[in-house]
Amino acid sequence: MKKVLCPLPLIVLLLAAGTVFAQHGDGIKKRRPLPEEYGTIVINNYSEYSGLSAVVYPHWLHRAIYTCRLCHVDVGFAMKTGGTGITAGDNEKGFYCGTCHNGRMLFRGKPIFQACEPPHSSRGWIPAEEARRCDKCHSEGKQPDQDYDFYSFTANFPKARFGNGIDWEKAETQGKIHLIDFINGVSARRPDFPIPSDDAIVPKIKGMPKVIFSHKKHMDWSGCELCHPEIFSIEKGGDRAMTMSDNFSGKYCGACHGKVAFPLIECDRCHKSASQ
Amino acid sequence: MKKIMMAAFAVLILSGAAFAADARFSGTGKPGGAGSGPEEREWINEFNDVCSATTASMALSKDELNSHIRSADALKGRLGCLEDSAKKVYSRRLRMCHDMYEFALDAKVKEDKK
Repeated sequence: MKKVLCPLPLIVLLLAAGTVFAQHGDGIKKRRPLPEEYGTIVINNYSEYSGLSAVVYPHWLHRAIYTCRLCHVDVGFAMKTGGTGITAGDNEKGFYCGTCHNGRMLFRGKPIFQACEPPHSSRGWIPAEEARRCDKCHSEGKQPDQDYDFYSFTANFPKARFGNGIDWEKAETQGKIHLIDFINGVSARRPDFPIPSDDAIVPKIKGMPKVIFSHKKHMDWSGCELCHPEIFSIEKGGDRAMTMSDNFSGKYCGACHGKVAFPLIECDRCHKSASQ
Repeated sequence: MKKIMMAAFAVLILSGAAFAADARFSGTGKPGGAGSGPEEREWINEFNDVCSATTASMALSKDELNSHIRSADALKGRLGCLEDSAKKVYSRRLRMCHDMYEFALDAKVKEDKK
């Protein structure tokens, strides 16, 4: 009788090798963020160095109140996490977070809590009330009391499949949100502007519907200089074409879509013309 | 006497509130740290003049775009004298305006060549 090689050790070996490969190599499926987590970023320029938790910034709440342009152009926040180099000193002087989080600006009739206050070193201690306020932003690894809960705040908003699970565009057209695009003393008064027409971008893949890019929609929320030329330096019909691979790696559309704006897996929200 | 004291107190409170409201809404208050001195107001006005036209940049002529680019370049040096936070914010904002005008100008020049 021929000796049959027992396959069990081989299977175990293969499974173990597969697991090790999966843990160290590419191909691990990332956990999809929960609706309230989508767009959230962690800012840790100097926080831990200063003995505080990193800042957990909820994009969902801010995008429900302000345009992207207001914060990323007028207030000066960079588009890449950590790219701004915000310090507590900047906030105290009324810049960055401190532009609105100054204890005076109002939202829904309530003052927006002050982000950072002048140094506590002279006192040598932080009162409990103040520490609780620090924790509202410096909240990584904590469960601080927040003023607004995602699910109750967005309960009446039109739903979407991915991202925050909110169709922000519809939320605006239906009047559920009224985005602020101007802050006195910060924003420059801009005259009415001519809006470029929609662009139809023809994909290389046959049968793939064209992308209908609405300049109006993007200009309302982002203005011009937020995208040009930093994100889109390429010109229409130029030699350099963008690819979906570029987008998925965070370039071009992927600078916002997949991070804060609806994710790239919602194909039909961009590729929406009749098939070629 | 008591009435006079009360009236004076009310006037003080009202003028304080009016001052605070003016500082907040006239753009000379804390937000953005633009400051309220004449020099600060001068550069912030210049900054606003330069950067308020970005949304219309594709409709501007090449001369207008060139003029905005020159103004942005001229303002850049003056922003260098601001304190650190203001310098950081306004230098970035100015660079974005400048680059937008340059992008629009570049597109127009290329369009003309076609």
